[in-house]
Amino acid sequence: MKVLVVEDEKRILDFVRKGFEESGFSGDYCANGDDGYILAKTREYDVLILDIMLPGRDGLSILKNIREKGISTPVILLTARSELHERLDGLNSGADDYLTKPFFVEELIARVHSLMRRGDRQSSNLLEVGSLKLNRYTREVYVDGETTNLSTREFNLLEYFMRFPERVFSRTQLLEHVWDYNYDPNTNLIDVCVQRLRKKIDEGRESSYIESVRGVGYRFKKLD
Amino acid sequence: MFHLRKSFRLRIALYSAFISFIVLISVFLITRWLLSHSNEKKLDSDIRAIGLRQISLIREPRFWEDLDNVYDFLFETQYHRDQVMIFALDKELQLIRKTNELPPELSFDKLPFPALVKRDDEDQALIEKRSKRLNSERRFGYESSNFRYYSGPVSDPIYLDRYLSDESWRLGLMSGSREYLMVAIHGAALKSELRKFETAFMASIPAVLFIAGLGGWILSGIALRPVNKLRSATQTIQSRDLHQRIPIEDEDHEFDDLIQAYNQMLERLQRSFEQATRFSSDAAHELKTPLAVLQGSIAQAMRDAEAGSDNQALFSEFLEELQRLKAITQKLLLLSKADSGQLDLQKHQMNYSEAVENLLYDIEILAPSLNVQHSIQKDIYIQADSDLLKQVLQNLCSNSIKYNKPKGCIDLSLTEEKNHIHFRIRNTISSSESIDSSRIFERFYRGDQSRSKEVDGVGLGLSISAEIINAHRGSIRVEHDQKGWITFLTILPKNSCLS
Repeated sequence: MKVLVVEDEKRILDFVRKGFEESGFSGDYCANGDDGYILAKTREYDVLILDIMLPGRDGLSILKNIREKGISTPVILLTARSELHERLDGLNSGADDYLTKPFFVEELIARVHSLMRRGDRQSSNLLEVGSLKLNRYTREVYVDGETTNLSTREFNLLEYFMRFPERVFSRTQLLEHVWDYNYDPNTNLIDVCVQRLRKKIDEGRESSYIESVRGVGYRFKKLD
Repeated sequence: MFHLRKSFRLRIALYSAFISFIVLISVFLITRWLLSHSNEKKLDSDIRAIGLRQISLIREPRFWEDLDNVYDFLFETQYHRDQVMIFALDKELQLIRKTNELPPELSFDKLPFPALVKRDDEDQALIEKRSKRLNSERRFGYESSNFRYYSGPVSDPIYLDRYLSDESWRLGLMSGSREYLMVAIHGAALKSELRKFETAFMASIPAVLFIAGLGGWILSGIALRPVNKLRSATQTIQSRDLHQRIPIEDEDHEFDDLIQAYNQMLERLQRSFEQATRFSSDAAHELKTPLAVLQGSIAQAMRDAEAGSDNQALFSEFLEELQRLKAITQKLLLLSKADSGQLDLQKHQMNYSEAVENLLYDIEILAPSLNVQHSIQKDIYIQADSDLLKQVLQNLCSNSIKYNKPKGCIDLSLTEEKNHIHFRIRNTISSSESIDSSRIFERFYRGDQSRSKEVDGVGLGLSISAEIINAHRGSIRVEHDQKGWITFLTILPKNSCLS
């Protein structure tokens, strides 16, 4: 999959680029609205990620212009909550999603995935790791072919883990994705939720899918 | 309970009554003084009239016996018989005629009678002529009623005030050419008039005071009308609509100035409020980019660090602190947007029931010792900004845990009623908790100050919740009962786009 990211803050662009590369995306990354517009117009991408405030052409005008040219590539806008008018404008002028800064790159990637699967109900709605199967559309989880009942929180957590196997997540990150950042990171929400999840998916296994990482959080292991 | 508040109107009413009272009393005193002065004059002139008449009749006994007629004739029964005493004395101050018993304390020696008046030849001739005429009239058997003896010239009276038999008398001392005369009129004789005047006056005082007070009350009411108008206008002005001005509609120029000054103050207030709001909004906004850089870079560094290493743990800790920064930045931004009335909502259909069920899941994890009860109606959907509404739910939920007592209770309910959805969260609170229901939605308000230190948070949660609910055109209420329960009730319209 190929993405175009237009973001003027170089270091944000850096970690976004790294995140996408680690998740197997290829793409172009540029820090200038005018260059971004030319790239979006001339090359083919699976998804465009545009910051709203940009030097040169801003994100919204890029979006408008490419839509006028008949390019229907999905677009995710990067915004701050205070730019709400612009956000609404963005959705009206054809953006498919938005993400508020500051964000974790995994969140952005998850959004990209969910945009991708809009077009394709069947295959990309299915996540499979080892003997675990997760259907995002029907919200069903199969362990060794048998369904397991998960709560909403547990389901969201597992989906996030399965989306990024082998990646270390801090509790804060998990909390923000599954709950949101208004929760106090000192709570035991994550730990209890992980424990419950383990009980449901690790049955009859020697080691757990979800590995604790000392002082940090958790990592989802690909077990065979 | 009635308690006396300082009242401008009451004060004005009292002042006007007081001023009227002072004016009334001074008018009374002056009038009374004038009246008693003229009474004295009248007494004196009556004394003089009686004296002039009687002195010429000293030697005529029958005139002394028929005094009543004389008085009737002279003064039109103005004086009572007892109120007048007349004593005639000869040259040696011996009593020769009297109308009353002599009061014991009266001794003529000590009275300053004027000196006897000398008769001149003309007087002598007149006396003789009169005497002759009287004799001739008697001979013919008639007397002219207005006939006067003439006993010679008479001195001007000397007037005195004396107490006789413990009563006040006005004395007039006169002297003729051969005898002295004293006329005394009772001091009370003319007082009745004065009494009447005094009574009338006293009776009128309460009425006058009442009318003055009432007048003051009404007038001050009229005077306060523009102030009241200003007050009611002020009450309607919230921080949201500081741009409002009080209209100046043909007010008197004094109030014109007041309203103008007030409007100017509003304008300054608006300007500085907007600046403050813009500042916090800008600041929060400006913070977002560095926060995003920091968070992205630290997350990257954490991923790159060796799994389980100290560095990774350190980065994770950084992320945690960053999380707090993000949360408070977000809250400040939200509040400053709400203050400037720009809290826009990203509304879409959301499953309210599911959000509350998730909340329940969290409460059970966060506070396993609490007894949680719930009645959540299934499949309630609502048009709302789900990010914000979830924030409200979380705020209420974490409050109900934070301020609960050990092994307390939480009671959640979500019900749909007509066009509104009620979410109620009730919980027990520790008895030491003091809660000011009127201030609970204020920013940075936290229940018990001493306890607050143990409880995490900055005291923005409830004020943010209230702002979010208001932006959804809903309402949030708090009730605190004596049994140690506190209830938060949020009411949201099902479809706030329509309302």
